[in-house]
Amino acid sequence: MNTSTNHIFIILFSVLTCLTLLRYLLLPKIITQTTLNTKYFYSRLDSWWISLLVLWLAHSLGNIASTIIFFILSFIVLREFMSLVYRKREDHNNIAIAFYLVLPIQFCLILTKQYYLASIFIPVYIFFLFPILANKTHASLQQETLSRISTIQIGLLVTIFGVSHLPAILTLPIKSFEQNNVLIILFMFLALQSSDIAKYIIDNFISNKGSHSTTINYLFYAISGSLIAIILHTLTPFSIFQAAIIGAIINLVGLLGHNMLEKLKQSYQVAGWGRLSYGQYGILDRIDKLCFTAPILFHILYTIY
Amino acid sequence: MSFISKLIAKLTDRSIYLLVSFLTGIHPKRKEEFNYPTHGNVYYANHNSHADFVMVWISLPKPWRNDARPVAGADYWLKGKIRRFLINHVFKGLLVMRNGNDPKSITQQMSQSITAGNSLIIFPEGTRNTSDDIQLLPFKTGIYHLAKENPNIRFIPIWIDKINRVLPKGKLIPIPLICDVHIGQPIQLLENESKEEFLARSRNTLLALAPKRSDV
Repeated sequence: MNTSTNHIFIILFSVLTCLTLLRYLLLPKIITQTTLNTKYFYSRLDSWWISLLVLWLAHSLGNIASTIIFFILSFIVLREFMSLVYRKREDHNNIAIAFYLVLPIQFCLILTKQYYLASIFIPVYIFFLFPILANKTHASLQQETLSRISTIQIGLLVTIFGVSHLPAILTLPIKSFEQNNVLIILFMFLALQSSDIAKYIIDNFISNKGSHSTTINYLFYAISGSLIAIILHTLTPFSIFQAAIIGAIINLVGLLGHNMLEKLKQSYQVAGWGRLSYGQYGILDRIDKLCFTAPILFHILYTIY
Repeated sequence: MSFISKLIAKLTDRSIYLLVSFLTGIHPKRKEEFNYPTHGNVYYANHNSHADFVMVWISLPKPWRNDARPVAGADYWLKGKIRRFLINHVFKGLLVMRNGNDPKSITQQMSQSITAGNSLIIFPEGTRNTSDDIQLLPFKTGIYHLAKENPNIRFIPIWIDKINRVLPKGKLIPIPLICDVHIGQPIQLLENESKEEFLARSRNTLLALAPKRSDV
């Protein structure tokens, strides 16, 4: 029912407004007394505003408009990814195919609700298309070419395939869930962000250990994801028990994917994907966890409901 | 110029700006980074594609952009009504004859424009660098003669990054990549600097702006 969705949006927007007032009115007064790293908080706040506005627009404008909005988002992050990864001119044809064929076709499939084809198109057909096109290169260069192709394919999967499943979740008809699907996306978004914030708070205020071992990291994210999911489970068609498991899965998958992209960035010796005005972080840095978890959440919804 | 053609020029100006800005992700630099006046500058950049001038032009903030005129070959730009309209009314270019009979007159033309209060945009490589291996072609001598005639002008190096990957030689379809424009500090011709020294120094200053990249 739309009224409860609108209520939730109103609540979230009010929270953001309070935080923004806090930022501009209150914090400058107490900032001199503590050594808070405010840039983290401010840039997060800005990205929350933009995310919430985009989600609200997608929700209120209907299926076609929301698919177009996410198509544009996919284009932006695909471009950020390729701007870093595209080095040799032999990759030119593959990347042109990615921008001009794969991207529109994938979103057309989502728009026409061909979910099965949309799940297979990139991981199967396009996956094999690029190495097949590389048959023309000389055999001695083949291994190097294939390794570059695999980097490009990671980019396609993360930016096109991943982002395309956000409007897929929005337009998926789920029986026994009367509320708007945008709440499910909000659920995923809040689960991911809350774990990030919890980790930040613990790192900076509670524990002095520095960076924890990887296992503790994953465990922490999984547990905090479960807890948040239990609190928020009314936004989704899941029961409490299912929500707990799914919350853990969302956070684990998001963290694993995010770490994979971090390693990729480090191999190119950059800190962020884009060149936005503040910091060096691009949009892909913000939404990479969503790109990994969206297909998984979609498949869970598709198979269970 | 009539009101209609002024309007069309302004619209064309805006649309080219928006199109190239969207395709390449380039936007004007902040005014605070420009600690020199808007006139008396010669912006020199590397030349890889037909869109190079537009990218230099977009990355200048508005006051600097209004005073900057590209130096363009008259033999190419005067053919056809659309090209004439573009180069004269939209880009406000300085047209020079490139057939090599009188290089001194080209320098004179440019000097006159500078004295009249404009800035110029030039590409000292002379032609598009379409090779994959050489980062920056050797400079032609025009930039030295211009500096010799007007020792007071500031030469500002501008490096356009990644545009050679948007449309490499031999490819038909451009890829919308995020390009970058790096603008360096101005240099001037030193006293008793020879032609070779100045050409080498200006070329190296430009090359130093290129980001070091490990080609994986």
